Amino acid sequence: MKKNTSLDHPFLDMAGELSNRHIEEARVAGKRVVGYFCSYVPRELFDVPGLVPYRMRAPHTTTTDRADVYLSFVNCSYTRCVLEAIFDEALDFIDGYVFTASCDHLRRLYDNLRYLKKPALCHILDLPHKTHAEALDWYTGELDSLRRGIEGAFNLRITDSDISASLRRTNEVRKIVGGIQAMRRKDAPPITGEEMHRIMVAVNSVPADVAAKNLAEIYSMLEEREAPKKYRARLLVIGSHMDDPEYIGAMEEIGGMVAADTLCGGAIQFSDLVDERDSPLRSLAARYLRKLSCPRMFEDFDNRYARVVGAARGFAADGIVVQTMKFCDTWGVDAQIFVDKLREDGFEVLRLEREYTRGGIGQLRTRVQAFLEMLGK
Amino acid sequence: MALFLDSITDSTPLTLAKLLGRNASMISRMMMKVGLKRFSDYRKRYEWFEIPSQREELWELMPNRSPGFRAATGISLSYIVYYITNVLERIAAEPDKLLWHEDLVPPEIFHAMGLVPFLVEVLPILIPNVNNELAEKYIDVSENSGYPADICSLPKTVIGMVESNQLPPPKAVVASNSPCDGGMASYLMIEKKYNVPVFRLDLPYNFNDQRGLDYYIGEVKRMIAFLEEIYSVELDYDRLREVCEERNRCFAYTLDLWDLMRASPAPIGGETLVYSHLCYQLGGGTRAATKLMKEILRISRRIVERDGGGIPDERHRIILWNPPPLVYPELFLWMEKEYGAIVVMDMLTFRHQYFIDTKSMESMLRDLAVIMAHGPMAQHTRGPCENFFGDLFFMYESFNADMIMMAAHLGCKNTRALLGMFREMCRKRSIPLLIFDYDLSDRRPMPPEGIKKQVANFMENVMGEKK
Repeated sequence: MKKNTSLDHPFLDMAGELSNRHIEEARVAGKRVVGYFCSYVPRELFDVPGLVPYRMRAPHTTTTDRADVYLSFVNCSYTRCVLEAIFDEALDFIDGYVFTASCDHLRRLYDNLRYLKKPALCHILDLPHKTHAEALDWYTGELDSLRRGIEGAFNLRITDSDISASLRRTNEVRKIVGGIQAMRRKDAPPITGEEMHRIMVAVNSVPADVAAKNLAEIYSMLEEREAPKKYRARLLVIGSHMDDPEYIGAMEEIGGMVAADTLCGGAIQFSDLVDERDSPLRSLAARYLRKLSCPRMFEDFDNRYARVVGAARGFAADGIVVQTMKFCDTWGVDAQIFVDKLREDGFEVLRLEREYTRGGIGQLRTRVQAFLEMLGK
Repeated sequence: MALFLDSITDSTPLTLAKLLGRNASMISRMMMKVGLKRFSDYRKRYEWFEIPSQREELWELMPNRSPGFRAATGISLSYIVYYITNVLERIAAEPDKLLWHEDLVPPEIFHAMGLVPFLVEVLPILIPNVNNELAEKYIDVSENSGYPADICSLPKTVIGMVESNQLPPPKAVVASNSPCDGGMASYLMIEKKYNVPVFRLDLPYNFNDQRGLDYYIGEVKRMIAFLEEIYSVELDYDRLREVCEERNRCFAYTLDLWDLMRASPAPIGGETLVYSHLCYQLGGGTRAATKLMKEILRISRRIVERDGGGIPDERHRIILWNPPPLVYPELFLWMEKEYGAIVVMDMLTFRHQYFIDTKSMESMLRDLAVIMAHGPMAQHTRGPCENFFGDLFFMYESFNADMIMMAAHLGCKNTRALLGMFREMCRKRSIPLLIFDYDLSDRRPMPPEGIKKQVANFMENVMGEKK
């Protein structure tokens, strides 16, 4: 008999803080923490002996006064908040940074960070905009260059077998996440969108072995759990980067159920496995280059659209929330074309523009409330 | 082309009437070429077709410039009109050869393939220079179609024009990831609007090493294969060699012009210098472009020999960084007149130039790829900031400037994100730096009076000009 219990697991609490117990323990043990900025960065490369991966976030930043002096008010608030948190020493547990040349904002954060802080490791991966064979060769070479950069910065060796072991561990996490995702397809999912978001923030903030252990426990709890709440409508959330579960929570407080998301730190993005048979760097390059794409990629709109529509149907979404972060040009243009096409294809769509931080939750509730009513729910 | 080539050799003092007359002649010639019916169709279809070919406010300030400088200004402006009329003539004759290309993808290869390349941004660049209201209309159309208000107003103008069916529809498009996310993203809208094939050149972030360059050369070759398939034409070695040799000639004149620009007083400058660089963007590898540059060089030499400088009392030499305010071209003439301050080099004009080695197809494609990768803005707005500041400070020293003017376009995320570093680096080098806010194509966020005020404050408070 299933129980209507809360999902009381410490792993979910990690989303509330920047650092976490595992990061602190790793640092005490002399390990280095590598912060990464984009879903195209293969975290497996630095989830190896001596290193810990951490997806950069700063959702609790309240003002960006100093960051705005170097970046500017027309840069996306994610990059400004991260820079401000670095100024505030709130991210002092990070020993090195890995970027991709994915957008104007990240490229310039990379420039400013090198100029202002001169970290031991500040590496930018030259991410191609295409996924053809030559681009795959190129990105494989880039990953090798990252490996050498990390080795040089921290005076350690990262062998192919280290990377192979890392990608196998991470694949295990991907499989468990996939298993939880399968539960979310049910009429009465045993997990809310906010809880899933908390889980994914935590997954992106710890080594794979820690994530696997915690997720296995959570998976068992979910198998025994009844749907935690009733909902009026199922939603799919797509769009810009988000790592604050409260945002999803606000949609759910008023009766929405975020059944799935295609956010770049989210479960759908994460679940694609890495091929364990090929050489590890090439496998990683292929997996990351050909994953569900960000709009900064070329010639992949139709594929991206098909995957979003597949998710909407697979998770039985009644409506799709397309949310973009202000000043993100690639999502800004892409989202409008997306919205037009989704509506043409009969989907109900709510378009939202937001900042990285949580401000405007009241307005968000009002918009989602109206959307749920429009859905007739 | 004959008319343009004839007209530019006439370097007697330029008047507005003469310029308008010259441009009107080019338009009449186009009417003859395309026929009255098509000409009339163009007039009905394209609302920009009727805009005056010059902005009269410019001419109130023009007498401050020497006759030669005015002549150079006139031929640069006429070249743009020539380009547009020539494209419309060729579209009428060969509609199946029309190819849209993005402004940082130069046209040499397209010319060599016998295509009709049309630089998508040329009208969005020209229109705000001449008619603010029309540019603002397209910007409003873009925003009201749901595209973000905060992207650069140049791609917004492009989107608005495309939404309003104000550009001749392409058969195919070549774009790139330069100069910025906004420009790059706008081509998705174009692709969906026209449902035509689009090839996007993928320029690596690190294009300075051999690995990056090899990848990009591969991209150029894939673009050629794409065009050969779409247009059923082949890239011919001899034809490409001719085009590259023509570009090399143009480049040689450009280097000579830059040598003149290093000396004080400068023979020309300001928006004339900026417009002249369009000979590469619009007409790279064509006789008309070479002729334009040759003529500007000839005039500039004569100014140096006879008049000394392009303006009567050169007191300040400016490096302009970022594109100039398209909505307010008078700014340069006003600064010249008011403060003796002339722009002697700018980000768009300065480029890492290379002569193209024409010994083989491979050498030409390699050198063209290098030129594209190192093109203005492509070099500065996407790559590491070392590209940006490296060129800037090189130009400052090399062109004997005494101040830098940073045009801080409100829609330019990637250059505004360097302003903090910019200030500190200039302070460290004791370089006077004016950062002024403006919007490239929309005067509403920062009207011309506001731009003037920012410049006046700086010139008077920092550069010691009298109030």
